[in-house]
Amino acid sequence: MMTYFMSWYIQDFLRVFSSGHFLVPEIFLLALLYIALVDEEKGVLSFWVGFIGGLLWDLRWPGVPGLSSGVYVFSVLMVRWVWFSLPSSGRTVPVFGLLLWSGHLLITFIRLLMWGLREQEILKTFVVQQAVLIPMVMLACLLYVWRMNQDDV
Amino acid sequence: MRRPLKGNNFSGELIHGLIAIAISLLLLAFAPRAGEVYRIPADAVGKFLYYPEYPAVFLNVTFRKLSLWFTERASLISQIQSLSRENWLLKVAAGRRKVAEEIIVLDSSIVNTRVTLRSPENWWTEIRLNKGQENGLKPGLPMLQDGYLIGRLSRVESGYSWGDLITSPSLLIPVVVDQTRDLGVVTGDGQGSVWLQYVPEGRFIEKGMTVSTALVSESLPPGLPIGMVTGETRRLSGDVDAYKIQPGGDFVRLYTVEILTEEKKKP
Repeated sequence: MMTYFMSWYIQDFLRVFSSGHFLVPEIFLLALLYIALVDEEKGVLSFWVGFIGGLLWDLRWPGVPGLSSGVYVFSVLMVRWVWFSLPSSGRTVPVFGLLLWSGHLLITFIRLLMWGLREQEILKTFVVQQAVLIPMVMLACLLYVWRMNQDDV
Repeated sequence: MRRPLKGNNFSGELIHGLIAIAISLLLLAFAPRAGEVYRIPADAVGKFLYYPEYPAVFLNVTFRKLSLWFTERASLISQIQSLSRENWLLKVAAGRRKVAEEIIVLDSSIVNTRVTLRSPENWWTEIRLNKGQENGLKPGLPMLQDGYLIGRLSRVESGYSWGDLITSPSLLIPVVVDQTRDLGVVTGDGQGSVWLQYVPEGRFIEKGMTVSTALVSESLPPGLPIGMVTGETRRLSGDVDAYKIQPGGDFVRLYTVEILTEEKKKP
C-alpha cells in the first residue's frame, strides 16, 4: 500500500514542482501496472487503488473527474489480461517492459490532448514525456528481473 | 514459477474492474452538469494536500527565484555594460567640448607678436616685440613659443615692449619638477643655457623629467611647460647642484612670440 501512496505522492510532488510546465511522468500508473503484473493476487486491489488514485488526481488537478480513474483501471485490466493470458514461457522481460510501456499510451494521449498544445508542441511534449517514461520502464524491468532471481533462489 | 491466473479469479477481477470503469464513466457523464458538486471534494483534496505539497511549492518558488536571480543578473550585467559604454561616450563627448572651449578661451587670451629686435650684445637676454600697451600687454606677462615658456615681459610701452628671456641670468622663474614635485628656480647663464637651481640637496632629478612653472609667482600662471632635464649637472658655490634644462622653445629661430594675457573671454 505504501508503494501506491508514495508513487502517487511523488507524481503529485513533481506536478506541483513543474507548475504545469511539462507533462509529469505517470509514476502512479507505473507502480499500479508493475504490482498488477508481478503480483497476481493484487488484481482487485490494483483496480480500486487505481480508481481512487485516479479520482484523487482528477479532483486535485484540472481535469474531468472519472477520466484518470477510468483510464487507470482500464489500463491495468488490459495489461493484466494480456500478461496472464500468456503462457509462463511467454512472460519474458521484454514483454513485461512492452506491456508497462503500452499501458501508458492511452493516458499519455489523453493528457496530451487535454494539454491544449499545438501539433508541433504536442510532438515535442510527447518526446520529452517518453524520454522520462522509457528509463522508468527499463528500471521497472530491472526490478522485475531482480525479483525473479530472488524468487528462483 | 508463477501460476497462470485461474479462470474464476479473472472473472471476479473482471467484475471489479468493470464496476470501477462503470463508476468512472458515470462520473465522467455527470461531470459537465455537476461542477458545483465536484468543487467541494476538489477543495477538500486541495486542503488535505496543502502540507504534503508544501516542500514542492517551496522548491518551486526557490527554483523560480534562483532562475529569476540569474536572469536579472544577466540583464543587470548587460545594462551595466551598456551604461558603461554610454558613460564613456558621454565622457569623450564632454571632453571634446571642454577641450574645444579651452582652445577658444586660450585663443582669446593670447596675443601674437613679432620679434622686432634682438641685439647681438643681448642675444640671450632680451628681445623687443611689436605690440605694447594698446594690445593689453603688461610687464610680467609670460612669453611663449609653441606653448613653452621662453621668458616674460619686462617693459611695455605704446606700440612695443621688451621681454627678458629665460636664458638671461637676470630672470629667475620659480618652477616645479613635474614628476617629483620638487621646487626650484630656473635661470639662464647668459650664454644660451638654462639651469635648474636651488633644488634641495639629495633629490633625485633624472634625465627626461619635465619642468613647468610653479604656483609661487603671482604673475605667472602655474603649469606652463619650460623644458626637460638633460641629465647634465654642474656644481655651484655652496656645493649645490644645478641641472641643465633643454628649453622647449627654440631660441635660435625666435621670430614670433605669444603673450599670454590675463584676459580670458568665455565664448
